[in-house]
Amino acid sequence: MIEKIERLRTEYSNASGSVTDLKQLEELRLKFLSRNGALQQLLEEMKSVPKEDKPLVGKELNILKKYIQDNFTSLKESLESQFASTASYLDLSLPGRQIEFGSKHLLTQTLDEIKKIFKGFGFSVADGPELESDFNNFTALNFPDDHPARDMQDTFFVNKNFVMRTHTSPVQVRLMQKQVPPIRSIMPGKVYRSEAISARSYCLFHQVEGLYVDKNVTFAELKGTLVSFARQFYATDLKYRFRPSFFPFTEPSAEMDITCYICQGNGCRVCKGSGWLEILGCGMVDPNVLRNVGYDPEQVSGYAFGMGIERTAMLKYGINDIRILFDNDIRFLRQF
Amino acid sequence: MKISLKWLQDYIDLSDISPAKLENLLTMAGLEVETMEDLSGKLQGFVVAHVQEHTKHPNADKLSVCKIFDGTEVRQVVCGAPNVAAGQKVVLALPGTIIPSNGMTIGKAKLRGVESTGMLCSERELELSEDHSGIMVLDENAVPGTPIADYMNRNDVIFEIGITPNRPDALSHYGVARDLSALLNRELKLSPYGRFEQWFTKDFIEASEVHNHASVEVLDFAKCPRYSALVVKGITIKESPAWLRNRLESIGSRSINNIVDITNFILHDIGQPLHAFDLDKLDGAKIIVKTMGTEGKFTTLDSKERTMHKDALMICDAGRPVAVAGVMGGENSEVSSETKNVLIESAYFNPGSIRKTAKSLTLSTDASYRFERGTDPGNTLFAALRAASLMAEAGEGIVVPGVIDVKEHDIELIQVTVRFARVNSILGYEVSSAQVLDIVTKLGFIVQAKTENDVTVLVPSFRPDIDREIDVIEEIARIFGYDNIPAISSIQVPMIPITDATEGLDKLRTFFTGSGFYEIISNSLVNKHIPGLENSAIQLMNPQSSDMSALRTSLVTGLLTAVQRNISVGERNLKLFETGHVFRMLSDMITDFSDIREEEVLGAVFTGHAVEKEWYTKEIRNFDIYDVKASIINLLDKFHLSKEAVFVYTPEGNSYLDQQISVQFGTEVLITAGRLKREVIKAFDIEQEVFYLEVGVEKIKELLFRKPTFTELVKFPKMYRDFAFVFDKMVNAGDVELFIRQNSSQILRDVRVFDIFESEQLGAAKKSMAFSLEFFDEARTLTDDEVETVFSTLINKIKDNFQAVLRG
Repeated sequence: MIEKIERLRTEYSNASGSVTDLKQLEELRLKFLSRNGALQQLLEEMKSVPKEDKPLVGKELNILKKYIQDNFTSLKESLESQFASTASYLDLSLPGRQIEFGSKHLLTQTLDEIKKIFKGFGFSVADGPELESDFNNFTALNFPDDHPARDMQDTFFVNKNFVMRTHTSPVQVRLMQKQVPPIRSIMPGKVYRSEAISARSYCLFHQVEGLYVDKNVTFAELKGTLVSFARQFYATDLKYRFRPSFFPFTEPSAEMDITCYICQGNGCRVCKGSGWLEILGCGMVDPNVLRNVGYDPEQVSGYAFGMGIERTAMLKYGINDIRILFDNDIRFLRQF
Repeated sequence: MKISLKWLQDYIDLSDISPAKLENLLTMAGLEVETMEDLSGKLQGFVVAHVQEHTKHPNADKLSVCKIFDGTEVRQVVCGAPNVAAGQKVVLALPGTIIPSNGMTIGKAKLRGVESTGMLCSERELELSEDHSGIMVLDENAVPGTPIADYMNRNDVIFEIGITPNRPDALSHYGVARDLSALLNRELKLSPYGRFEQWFTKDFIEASEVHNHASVEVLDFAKCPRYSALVVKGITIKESPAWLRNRLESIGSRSINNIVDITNFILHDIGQPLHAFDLDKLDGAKIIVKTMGTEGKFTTLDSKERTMHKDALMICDAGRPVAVAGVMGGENSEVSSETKNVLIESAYFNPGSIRKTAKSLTLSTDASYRFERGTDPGNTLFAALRAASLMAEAGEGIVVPGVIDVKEHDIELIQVTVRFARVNSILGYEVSSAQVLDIVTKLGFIVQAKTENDVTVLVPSFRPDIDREIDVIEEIARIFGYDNIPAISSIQVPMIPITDATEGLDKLRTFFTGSGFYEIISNSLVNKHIPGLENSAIQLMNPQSSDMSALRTSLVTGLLTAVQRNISVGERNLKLFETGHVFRMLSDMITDFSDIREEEVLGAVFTGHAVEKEWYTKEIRNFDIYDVKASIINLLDKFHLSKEAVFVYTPEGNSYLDQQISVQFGTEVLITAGRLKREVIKAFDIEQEVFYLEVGVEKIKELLFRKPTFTELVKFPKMYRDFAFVFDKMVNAGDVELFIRQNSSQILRDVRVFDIFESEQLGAAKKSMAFSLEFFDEARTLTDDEVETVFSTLINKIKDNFQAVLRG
């Protein structure tokens, strides 16, 4: 009988050692622990053990029973916990439940940046209509009738007296008509020029106009303000130059160039070999313009400037075809 | 405008200044150099050489060995050209020279065992033409050793200068030299060409002989303040001398004949446009300058018949017009190969008048370009005399003594007083009075009086742009140098509020981008024919094309154009928005701003998949009107507008939308949304449904800054009750919701529809809608009984009102 007990122990030990899943565990249970299992059969054989042997055999049998039961329980727990962790396994490499964010157009983002800098200089932001009177767009800005200065900007006409504004400068006029100095404002918006659509020009573009009118506003302050803007917007260490130019509504008039950011001023395709990039036009508000809005040029002076946002954005992001800004291809829009 | 460096040096010595330095100097003085081309650049290293001997190559049939004299030494060159022969003057590329056509550098080489030091060149190798049939053979008088650039008159630099409309004085070589003279502090010279001092005497001027040959009458002094003329007789029309041809060719002007070339030369030399009439073709040998007063046909010398505006100033002879004043001469009086006697016209015309005529003819010539900007009225006679002198020289003619110079009165120079303090207060930098005086003098202003505080000057007649103190201040700054005025490094900011008119729009943009929309910017010039949207569109008078002939009345056009474009590249699922102005006519004629409505609008489109197939989704779902409605509700909630907003539903829609939902705020419509009608999207070749949402920015702008008021948080528990009814299908959830709100006690705080379905069991045209009701009171805990009472009363009311059946 002792032998049988030992045999069953070995048999169970071998069988349980090879159990790897719950199905095999159940087979193990049926074979050893069920009502007709090997352990039960052995327990029943106790009846036929001679009385004097019973204590010893009973003791061994109890040890075997405890061993099998304990072993089975721990095996079961271990297998079950293994099974449970598989069931709750998470594949964290799956993509998330994405919500797509949109974005502002590159031109809006560029304008936002410009606005932020000038607000820091104490500038307000104003706007005005795109369909303007010829008077506000030209006459009030000191463009004489039948003067070649009018040819500087190819104009879309709605009729003899109404045009699509060719620049944001008429907003200057509107602002000055409404307010008294000091006026310190930038005026962003769409402007229209009847130019053939190509990589370099479009029939409309966006400008930011700036105007500061107060007592004792000087050309030196204009330079300082624009240099500080350019250094914040483009590069802190850039070189610049102001060169004489012509706008009917400013006198003196200037254009501001900065060193080409691509070639560092050595000359390349973007700056057409000159080493300089033109970024804006500016000047001191012409006394005629101040007089046209009822200001006294002896009492106040002012400066004005204007820059194209497309050109600014194209320079900054290395875009060489203006049309892509208006194609609205989502693959372009997603890049910014 | 093209300016030749060589030509400039007729007037000012620039030999010690590099072209690059000159370029910078001009640009920084407001004469912007757009391009600079060194004509000799590609011809470096090529010289004239003499072929002294020519023998066959010992080892190659097609090659020959030449002894070549390059001006200093004799070298051996192997040549493959069939036309090479002893005695020729040829083009030699010295060792080290780069061949323009192929970039090769010439070195010493052995060709089939024979040494060769240099290369004889064809026209193609110098990129002069495509000819590669043989080497270039030069004039037999060419001097060996002469650089080819010199031999070909290409040792010149051409500047392309952009002259701003205020600077007609700089539209010539003399004009540019005049600025350089002020900038460099250098004297101007007289041009060696067209010198007339020797015969231009008092006797000549006072002679009356010219009046026997021609007469001039000006009938419109307003448009022609001065008309000068000279007569040259007995000329021979022929090719221009080499110097004249070279000059014109260097700036890209084609040589025609000696007389025409001389008028062109004077135009580019000193900026005065001239016209040469064939005197024998002038009826009565007479010039009458007048405005015709009636429209008429006229054939200009380019053989085009043109319709003349009635106000155009015409040059006439005794019987008929012979030239369009200041723009172009007539075919009937032009100089031809038979011409013997010439009348030189040198006039000053009113700039505005010439511009009007040129505009009405859509014709811009070198002459009209200068006249409309303003030529120098003090210079007409000088220009005519120089031209006459050159015609006498190059055309072997005789200048008839005496001058014709018709003017109403002498040219009066404008007087301007410049205050030194004003210069400094505009520039923000102290320019000394001595510097001011120095600069104005150098620029040709005549100082009349000077005090401690100011200087009074006469403005030279070649500066029509200057008639005010500020104009002179600009000149002072220009010559002083903008870069010499320091940029100040701090500014004063007044403590007034900073306002931003675009802030509301920015808030909307942020909302839409946060909701997954991409911002687009589209063309506001559109095709007028868009179904449902063409109403009262404003048309352009001068559109570029019919696709860009009208101002948009809605952002739909741009958004659908973008949708179509993206679909065509395979991007079908889109949420896009745009902000921009839309335009409408409020009356048939625009005479005033009140006839226009220009309005800022935000438009958004939804198209394609709202829900994509993903690992966590069951199926794809397309956008529908409820996605649009969600955006509307989010927008209203975000800006605290929900309480006062009233929804209006119009399933049949308007001219371009159906499934229309509008939001009113008081009497204003803030938002309009819906599905774009089939005929609208089809006009853009779009097949898939597109939903549209429009926000009236002008109206909503101020509302976006509302501040919500704080509400105490409720301390007592909320209670919920649900019920479901079977309704007729046509009953709107919104109506039931409203009914519930209006027919309940104030402890009911919220109603939400949470389930809707139809089924066979419910019956045809029926649907089940389930609602969840929220109850609470800020002041106490509600009891089950009171909620139950409200709830069951409500059930009965709904049953009665909607003939609805309560479900289990």
